Amino acid sequence: MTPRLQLTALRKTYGSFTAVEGTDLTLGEGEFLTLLGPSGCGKTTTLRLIGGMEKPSSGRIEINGKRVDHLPSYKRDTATVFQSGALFPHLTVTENMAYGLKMRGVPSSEIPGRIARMLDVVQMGRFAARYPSGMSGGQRQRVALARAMVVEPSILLFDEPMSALDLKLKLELRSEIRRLHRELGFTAVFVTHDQSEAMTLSDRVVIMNQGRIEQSGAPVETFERPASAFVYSFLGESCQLAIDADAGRDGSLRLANAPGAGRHLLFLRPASLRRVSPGEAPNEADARVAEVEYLGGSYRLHADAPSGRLSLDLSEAPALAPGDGVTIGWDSADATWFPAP
Amino acid sequence: MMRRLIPAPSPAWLVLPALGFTLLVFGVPLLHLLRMSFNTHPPDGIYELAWSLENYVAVLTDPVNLRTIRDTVLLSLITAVVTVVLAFLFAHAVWKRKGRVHLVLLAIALCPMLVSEISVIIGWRMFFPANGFLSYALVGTGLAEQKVNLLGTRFAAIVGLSYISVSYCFLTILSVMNAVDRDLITASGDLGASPLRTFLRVLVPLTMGGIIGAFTQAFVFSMGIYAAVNALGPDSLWSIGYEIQRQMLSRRDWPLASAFAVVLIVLISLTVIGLHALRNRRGPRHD
Repeated sequence: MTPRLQLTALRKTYGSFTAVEGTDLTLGEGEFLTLLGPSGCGKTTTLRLIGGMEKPSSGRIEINGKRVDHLPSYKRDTATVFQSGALFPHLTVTENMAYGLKMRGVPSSEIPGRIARMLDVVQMGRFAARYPSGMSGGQRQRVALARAMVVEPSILLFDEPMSALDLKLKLELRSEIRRLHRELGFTAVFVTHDQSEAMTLSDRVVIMNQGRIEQSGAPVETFERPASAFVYSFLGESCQLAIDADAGRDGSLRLANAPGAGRHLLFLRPASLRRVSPGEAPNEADARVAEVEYLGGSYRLHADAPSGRLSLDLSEAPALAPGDGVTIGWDSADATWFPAP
Repeated sequence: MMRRLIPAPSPAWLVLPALGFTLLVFGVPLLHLLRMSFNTHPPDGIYELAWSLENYVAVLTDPVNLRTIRDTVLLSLITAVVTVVLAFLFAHAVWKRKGRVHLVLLAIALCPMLVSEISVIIGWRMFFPANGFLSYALVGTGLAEQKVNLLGTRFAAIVGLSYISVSYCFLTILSVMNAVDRDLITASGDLGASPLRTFLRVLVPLTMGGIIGAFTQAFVFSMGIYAAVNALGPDSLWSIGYEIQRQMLSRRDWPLASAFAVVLIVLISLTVIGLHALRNRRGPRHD
């Protein structure tokens, strides 16, 4: 079957700066894909290349098997939900929604019905005659969503649509988008720097860094089997120990299975670390307490081992002061090794 | 924050000094002008105190005067349309570009402001005649076989008038355009509108306030200016401004000149009020 979207060696440069570096990506029908990464990683540029708001420097973009990278935005079958919503302030909600339908040549007899149905789906029916200025940020974003969905594009593009909303609205809209995807089965590319958004919404997460794809896979897979040190440290909290052949020679680091020759980075999640008595855990590090923070309900202990800082959560206040010695242990299955750069 | 001991004056009061100044230097002479328009003109003098409507009757019934009014209004309307279109297109070009090009275009657009009205007139008088720059350029490039004279035409008058107000119109439109969220333009294209449709259905409606403002500006400017029309336009084209000047200085008929001036002021005021109403009538405020 032809994929909905296929990017081949897609590249975008601005002068000497490379925003997107040879990206390859395939998106199946009905798939919800998230481009996740820190700001400046190229995720928004990739989205704008797909939508036709930017021209690629080289590479191909195919939608439903047809090459589109030479086509301007208005000739591509994509529709975008913008960060700002970008509702036309001089048009009512209904007129905003009719805009795309008219421009795409949908027969005018079909337009009112399609708008009414879509407004029902996003539960904004009673706002049909309102102007955007008379609505809250969350309501405007729902309309923006409906305006993009009503044209039934081949691919729905989301450009950080929730980053301007407060947390409560964000969570509400997030579950709304999940419900809509389940009910309507649209194909989507969603750009965000918020990993919880990416994890909850997507079928597949693509993690980008410095214009390149670091890893692509199901949310659980990227979190539990990160393909690179960047992905590991970008997703969730992590501790990092720099380990070379000499590490632990003084007995402060006791590993069940040491890596081969050369420098390595050992990554650990705070949740998989525990405070132990020496000899109790398969892997152990002796460290000195740096700080104990009260997190409300639990305590976080930061301790410095010779090869790096380890942090872990404790349910009760530890009777420890900065400078005290402490032993921290973990299971071998929770350790992730990467060669040091 | 410090508590206010004295309540802050409402903004309306802050207008008072400027309002008082305006009333004094503008309102008083205006009242004087209004009074003058009811006086009569004796053959051997300038004016005689009276309460007569004969000047208004002359202004509004004499076919020559009516033609002057009609010509002035028509010329100003055409000038305003031409100026607004030019200013809008140029503002759009400036708005779309960034960085150095933006600054260079902005500087070019403001150049007409650096030149006084008299210099503008002299400049165009050297540009339009048979032995002027335009004529030589046309013959030199082979576009015309014989020398062309455009001085003394309505076209030249419109060019001159337009040149005087185009920078102001440009600034008015650009300031409104700068307030337009560029995402809206992107969104329009994204929803399937071609650049032309985006221009007509998004950019023009969103800048309509600026367009009407600029139109008002160009129209008012053109109604009031007399030298440019006289110096660049045809001899048969008498503007109200020129007629006032002629009655006042050459024919020494101050009452008739005043009546003309009052009619001009009323015409301009009505237009401004009408355009302002049009601006406010358009949907809810979204700017």
